[in-house]
Amino acid sequence: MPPPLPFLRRFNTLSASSAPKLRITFASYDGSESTPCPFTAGQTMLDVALEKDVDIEGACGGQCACSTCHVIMKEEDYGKFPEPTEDELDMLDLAMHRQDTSRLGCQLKLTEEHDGIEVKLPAETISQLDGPHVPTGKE
Amino acid sequence: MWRSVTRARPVLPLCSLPSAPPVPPPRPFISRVRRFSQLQHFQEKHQPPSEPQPRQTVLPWEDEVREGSFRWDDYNVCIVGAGPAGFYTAKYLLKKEEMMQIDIIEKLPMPGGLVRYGVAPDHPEVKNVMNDFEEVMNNPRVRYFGNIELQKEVGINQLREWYHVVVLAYGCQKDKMLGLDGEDLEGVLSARRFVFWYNGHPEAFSVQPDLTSSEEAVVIGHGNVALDCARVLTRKISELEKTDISDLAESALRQSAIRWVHVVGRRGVVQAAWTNKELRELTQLDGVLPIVDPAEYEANMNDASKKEMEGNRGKQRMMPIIETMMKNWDRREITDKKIIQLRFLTSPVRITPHAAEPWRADGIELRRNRLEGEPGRQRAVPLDGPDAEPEYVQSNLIIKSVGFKHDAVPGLILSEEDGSVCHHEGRVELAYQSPFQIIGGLYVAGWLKRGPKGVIASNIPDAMETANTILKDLWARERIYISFRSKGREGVVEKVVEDLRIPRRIVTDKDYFQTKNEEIRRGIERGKTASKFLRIKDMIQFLDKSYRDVLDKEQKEISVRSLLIHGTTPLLTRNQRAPEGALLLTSGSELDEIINTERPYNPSSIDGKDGVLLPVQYREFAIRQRSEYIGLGYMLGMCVFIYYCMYRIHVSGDPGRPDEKWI
Ligand SMILES: Cc1cc2nc3c(=O)[nH]c(=O)nc-3n(C[C@H](O)[C@H](O)[C@H](O)COP(=O)(O)OP(=O)(O)OC[C@H]3O[C@@H](n4cnc5c(N)ncnc54)[C@H](O)[C@@H]3O)c2cc1C
Ligand code: FES
Repeated sequence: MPPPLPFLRRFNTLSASSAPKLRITFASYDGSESTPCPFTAGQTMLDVALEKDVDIEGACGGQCACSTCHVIMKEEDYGKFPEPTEDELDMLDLAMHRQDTSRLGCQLKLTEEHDGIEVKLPAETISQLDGPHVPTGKE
Repeated sequence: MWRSVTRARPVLPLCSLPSAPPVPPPRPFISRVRRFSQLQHFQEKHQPPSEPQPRQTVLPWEDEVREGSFRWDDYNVCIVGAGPAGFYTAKYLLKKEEMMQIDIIEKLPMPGGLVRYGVAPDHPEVKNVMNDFEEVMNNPRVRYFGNIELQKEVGINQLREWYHVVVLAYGCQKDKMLGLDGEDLEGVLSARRFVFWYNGHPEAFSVQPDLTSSEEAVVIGHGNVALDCARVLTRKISELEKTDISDLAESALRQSAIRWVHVVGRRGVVQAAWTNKELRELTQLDGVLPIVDPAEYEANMNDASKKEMEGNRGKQRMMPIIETMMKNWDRREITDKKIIQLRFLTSPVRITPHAAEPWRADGIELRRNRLEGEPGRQRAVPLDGPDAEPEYVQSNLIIKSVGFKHDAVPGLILSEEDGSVCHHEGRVELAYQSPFQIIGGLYVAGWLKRGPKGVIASNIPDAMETANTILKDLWARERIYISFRSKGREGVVEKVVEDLRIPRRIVTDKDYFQTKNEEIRRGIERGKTASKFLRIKDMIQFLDKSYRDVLDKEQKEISVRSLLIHGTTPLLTRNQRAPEGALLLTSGSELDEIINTERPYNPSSIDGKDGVLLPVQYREFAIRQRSEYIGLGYMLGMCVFIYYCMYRIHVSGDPGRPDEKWI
């Protein structure tokens, strides 16, 4: 077979770079485990996590009614998403181990801009079997 | 089967080799284990009864003696209560351990607990967690048995004998009392009963709140449940009728005259237990005007309350919502909307009976309070002086939403402060007049463990903790915690059914899905998301009927059909086992087999089949009926033959001599 023509090769590389692999990483609260997950623009963070079986519940199916899809962002990534709505803030009030940069995964639509960011899962969703005992929300 | 291989008859050795240690049998994989243990169970059952052994009381440290009888092939876990706590515990146990076999026992036929019967009908998105729970029920390692109540149908000690681990997750089944005069009058309802009523809980079928006699209703309590009650009372019926609200409640609310709901709490805004989401929802309702009296608000925002608010983001975000409600205050007289008034620093004093009909409530006396104490510990103290004049609200519907209580299994010790069961990381402690600190094989989860507070999501970390403790104990063979008397879970349900004085239909996971689909179908007919069965009786009738329909199609035998219609026939479904000697019938041709072979029942034939279970006496009945038919047919044949003979004789004329026509 003759080698591909130079312009075709050019074309190939072009098409490959037009659909770059986007990825986001979910890390455990202490950073001991992390799961990189590929995503396509338009998916919510919860969908991406559930596809890869990350330890996140999403009990209400992404309806902003349960706060079990709680994730914690890095300071610098927090601004990359639109401001949370009042509804989301109301649900976040109920999330355990809430921090200033907490968000609900089901309310975060991912775009190309979010490629490579890393989010943390709050303490209680981590397997406590191997880790230290984490106090449950008895308050 | 591996047993027969390893126990092959010994062959004479050709030369004397040192005898090799016996090869341990290969570890069977899970499905084989189940099949085998079923068979073993069957064989055990059909062995001639041996001499009754004196029953041993076994102490936890004597387990070694019984090590041999304990099978570690699978872990049998029983979860009592099919609410969020039960399902989440099951979910994590299944996720972490492959050998887990779980039975879930529930008092009501339908699972879900407060997700089905607590969460308000206009919050369908919250009920999406049921999808998660259904996934657990669909797991082949889980069996669901509804309509079995702990303490009635089955005792806790029985369960501990049958299972390695018993998890109590039956929530809170009682109400806290206010201790007021007139609390037991007609018209005073606990929020639990009221919520159960509009959610179609079978226990609340007879509740009939009076919504027509007065324009005002009073809800006592400042939590989300109180707001749920107030919202359902005022929300437009055109919005409620589309939900899965109970049909009875829907028609009662359609007639409702209630225009003004007082939501009364003894302390202030900052101390209220509701969440912002529920509070904000009130301001967004169509046709409802939520109001707050600015004077009351001012009175409760003392310095201590402001301090309490400082570090609390949620409380700070609540203030704009309350301010919106204060702005509505002036419109209260002119609006044609229904009103929800949130009242602070107000306590109920007594509920007064009606003058002419003293068995029912006519109104409630309220008194004003002030706050006293340091931030975080403020108490409500009655006002004195001229302000102390009590206020009277005329109302025939008074709902107390002041919290729930446990209905403890006798022997469990409840902690003083919040009334939950004493436990350490989920292990039940100090119970049953036992000399041991921790009671083996018994665990708690959910509201029973934490006390009646928190949202559904709060059950997740809690269930994880219990699941982890269970697994740790199981894996470590930590005997003190695990009930070593476990005999395996096979036949548990039959034992329960056998012991019943009043027969009960056990509802399985399959029945649940069938009922749920029927409820949705009925709902579609009425333009709702679902129309729930309001009585257990109706639900069971529906289930029995649909099973009969299916079977009728298959069965040609008239006698069988008459049996099915006239007899009470326990229905058997997948994975259930029949009581000893019963007949399992899955099709008409099987009846033949049963009658002809006198085969009692063979557990392997049940595997994965559904059918009708006929008590033993039906075999005799069926055999008799069949022989009656045979006898009848025989007699009919004889009659025809005799008639024919007579006819021939008549035609031939002379009976005395043979005619050539005969030849
Ligand atoms: C009115 C109301 C509304 C609520 N709304 C919301 C909401 O919108 N969002 C939210 O996040 N949370 C809500 N909650 C809180 C949530 O329902 C609870 O956190 C959760 O249901 C507790 O789960 P549980 O499994 O411990 O108890 P339950 O859900 O009560 O489950 C206990 C189960 O055990 C069964 N049972 C009881 N006794 C026995 C027995 N003797 N034998 C066998 N079984 C038995 C019961 O029938 C029940 O199915 C609400 C609570 C109430 C009361
Ligand atoms: S999945 Fe329930 S709030 Fe996000």
